[in-house]
Parts: sequence; structure tokens; C-alpha cells
Amino acid sequence: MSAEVLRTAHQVASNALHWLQRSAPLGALPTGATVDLADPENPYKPLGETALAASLVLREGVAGPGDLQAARDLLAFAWQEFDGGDVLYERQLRHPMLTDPLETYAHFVRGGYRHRPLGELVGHLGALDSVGAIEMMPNRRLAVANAHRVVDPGHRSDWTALTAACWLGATPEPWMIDWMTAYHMTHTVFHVTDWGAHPAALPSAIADYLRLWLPVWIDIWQEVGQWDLVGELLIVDACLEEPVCDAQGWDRLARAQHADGLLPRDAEPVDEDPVRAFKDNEHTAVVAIVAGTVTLARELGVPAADR
Amino acid sequence: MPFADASASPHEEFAAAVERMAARALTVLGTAGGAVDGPAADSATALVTSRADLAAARILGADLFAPYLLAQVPLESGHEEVRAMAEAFRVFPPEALRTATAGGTIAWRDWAAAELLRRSGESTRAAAAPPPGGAPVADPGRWSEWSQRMAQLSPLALPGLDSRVHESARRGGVSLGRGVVRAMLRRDYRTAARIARWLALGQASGVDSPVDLGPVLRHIRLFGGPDARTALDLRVAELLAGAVGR
Repeated sequence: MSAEVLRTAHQVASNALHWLQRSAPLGALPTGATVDLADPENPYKPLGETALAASLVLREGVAGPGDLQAARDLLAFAWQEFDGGDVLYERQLRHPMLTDPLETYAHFVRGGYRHRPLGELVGHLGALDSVGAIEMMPNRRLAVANAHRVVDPGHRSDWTALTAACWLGATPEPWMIDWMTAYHMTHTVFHVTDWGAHPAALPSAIADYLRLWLPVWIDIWQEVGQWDLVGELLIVDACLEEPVCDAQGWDRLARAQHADGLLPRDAEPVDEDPVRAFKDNEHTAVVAIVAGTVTLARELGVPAADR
Repeated sequence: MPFADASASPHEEFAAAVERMAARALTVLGTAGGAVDGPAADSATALVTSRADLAAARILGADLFAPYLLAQVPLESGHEEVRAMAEAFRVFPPEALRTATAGGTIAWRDWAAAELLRRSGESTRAAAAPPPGGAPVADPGRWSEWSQRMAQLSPLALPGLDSRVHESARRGGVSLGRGVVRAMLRRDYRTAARIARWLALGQASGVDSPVDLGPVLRHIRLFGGPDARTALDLRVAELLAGAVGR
């Protein structure tokens, strides 16, 4: 990958990070939010995704001092919104069969935060057959396994079987993939590699498959301006031991990014209402931050897990 | 004249002639190549009845001879297709087309048709033309542009022809595979069928395809449009890949 592409990746990620930090107050939990969230999709879930992006910037440590500080601030903001983890703890106590408190907590653990009672709780639940047998999509099961691995490196999962159960595990006809399946596919890679920390954990048949077809998928979704998905596909590329994609994807993201750092999720006009614009595009900021961070880290060498 | 519709523009008239000519080749393929359900065409009708038909023969190019090449039947100057192509070259000489269309694509398609004409014993000025020079076959490394270019060259993907284009196809399997997948995802089944022909040709000579052609070709058959040229590309690919009935 050329120095030019790395500069672009760094710039897109850095701009997105500072846009997200400036906009973060718009994503605060409502005052008096209870564990029975009216809408878990919003703003609870995005807050966890912000924590994910910040935790990866800190884990990789390839950003400049200003970016690292922004990541620390964002993670602290999100942790504070969750009352230092109490919100997650209370939600897990109330709903032991839900996995989102564990999955959200893992991002904070990755970033250096701990909530001991919650850690103990998710460790206990993770050992229950009942929780292990919860009905969910195969790529979601990988998300849970990865969260357990981050919270407790001693936790064991049958990664081979979990991966084989996913769409990607079948290395199926690449010309049948659709938008939703593409998102599922990306998440299989994210969780198996813990967002690029363990590129070698991806079975070689899957890595070979991705090296063949990823350039095509990036090509067709950049053609229709699906910037959020293009960003996710660029993360997948950076999670490979040997990334395969050329500069095109990054160049298109850089061109789509607004001067203030907002990266539109797709080719539709961005809403004029700043709150709406934030809600619509905050996920894409997270994607851009993760994509740039993992791309730089992969290029600079050692996977985080081996440092 | 089968298409005496006075309201049809020359373009529409040519397009209709190409479709008819492709449908005719498909029917012959059905007889010669064991296919069963090609579009119905009346093969009792004379192949060429108008100037538009001659233009259509030039546009179809080597594909006009596809049934013979796939059935390994040697071309002879007495064959109706050979006579039609020879006449088409006289009425529409290659130079006239080459100046009107950019790049080497037309030149290569002309070369293929002329080369087959030459083998039939037909001696026209065009049939003596050497393969195009220069570097008309772009770099397979730029898979998207290159595979689209190879789609335009699909009439060359026939057994028995060989050239620098074919050599480039043998080396560019990954790029052809990506081109097929891109076209499939864009629902551009015509381009998908044309690129798949190159992979099928490779497979017929022992070069592995990066994408399983059987399901691809079945999918194009069920999802693609009704045009006869795509059906012809598809049938050629099926016969080359041995995918019929699988």
C-alpha cells in the first residue's frame, strides 16, 4: 500500500474522529435512562460503537497525540454515560439472556476500563449452556465469543465451528452477496480477528476467498455511494494478513467526506438538521475511524495481539 | 424483406437484424451442438436478405461461425455463413469500421472473423489481414477495465482461435472471475455471459476458473434478459464449460 493511501486513510479517520468527538454530546443517553431502554438501538448501541472506535485507536496507538487524546476523551465520555459501567451491569442483571451488555462492556475493557461485578456476572453467564444456546444469527454468536475473549483472554470458544456456521464460512458464490449479507460477512471477519488484532485467526480458505472477491465488492458499492459499507469492507481488507485492495476505495471515501469531517453513510443528501445528520451518520464515523486505524496498524507491521 | 417496417430507424433495423442473426446461430447450435431450447428461428429463410443483415453479420463476427467451431465442423466456402461473411466484408470493409470506432476491439473482432473466413478457403482482402499490432490488450492487473474489454472481445472466445488476446485471457483468470462477479452483482447479465465465455474456454483447455461456472450460467439463463446475443454467448459458454444439463 502506498504512502499516499496511508495518508488518505489517516486523514479520513482523523477527520471522522474529531467530528465524532465534537458531536458526541448529541449522542448522550437521555437523563434518567433505565435498564429497560425505550429504544436499545438509540442512543445506547451507537454509544457502544463509539467506545469500540475509541478503544481501537488506543489499542493500536498509531494515531497522533491529538487523535489519541480525542479517543481517550470519547471513551471517558461514553463510560460516564454508562455511569462507570453501572448501566450495563444493571441491564445485564435485569436481562441475563441479553448479550449486548457484555458486548458493549468489551469495548471498554479493550480501552482499559473495568467494572468488576459486571466482569464476574458476564463470566458466570458465559459459562451457562443456556446462554451459549441463545438463538441468534451466526455472525452475532461470533460477536459474543469475541466479547468474552476480550473480557477474559482465558475464555474458550469453538471458533472453527462458529465461523463455519456463517455465510462467509461457506465461501459461497460471491455474486449472490447483497447489502445486508455484506454487513454480516464483514462482521464475521471483525469478530474472528478481533478487529484486526489476530489476522492469522482467519481460516486461510476464507482469507483466500476475500482476497479474490473483496476488490469486486468494494468496486460495486463505491459505484453506488454506499460509503458506510465501503468503509466496512476496507476494515475487512485491513484485517487480512496481506491486504489486497488498491487506493480506489480510500480515494472515494476521502472525496465523499465533508470539510467538517462528517462522512455521509450513502449518496443521499445529508439532513440539514444537525441532530438528524449526526444520528444518520455517526455509524459511518465509527467505521471510518476503525478502517483508518486498522489499515495504518496493519501497514506499520505487528498485529496488536502480538505486541 | 422480413423487416419492412418503414417507421424503423436504421439503428433499430440493424439491431433487429443482429438479433435475428444471433437467433439463427443459436438454432444451428441447437442442431449441431446438442442444445434443446433456443429461440425459434426459421432456418429455411435465407440468412441474408438485406444490407442490414450484412451489417449484422459483421457485428456478430466470428460468432456467426460458432456452431461450426463448437461442433468441430470445418468451415467451407459453400457454407451460407461463409458466403454471407465474405459478402459482408465486401460491403462493409474493415477500414470503414475501424475508423469509426476507437481502439483495437473492432480490429481484433475483424481479425477473428477474417481468420475463420481464410480457413474456409474464401479469399477476400480482409481474410489476408494479420493480427492487429501494437498493444491493444490492456493489462489484466486492472481487472475492471480489462474484463470489460474482454467482454467486448467475447466473439473471439471460440475453440480453434488463438492470439495474444487468448494468451492474455489464459493469464487473466482472476481478473475475468472478478469481471463476471462484478457484472452479476450489477445485474449486467450480458457482460457476465460474455466474460464467462472466456473462463469457459479456459476451462475447456484445462485452466481452472476462479468462479464455479455451472451456477453462474444457470443464473444468467434464469435472470438474464431475452436478447438472442446474450443467449448465444450463454450457449457458447455452456457448451464450452460442459455445463448443459448439470
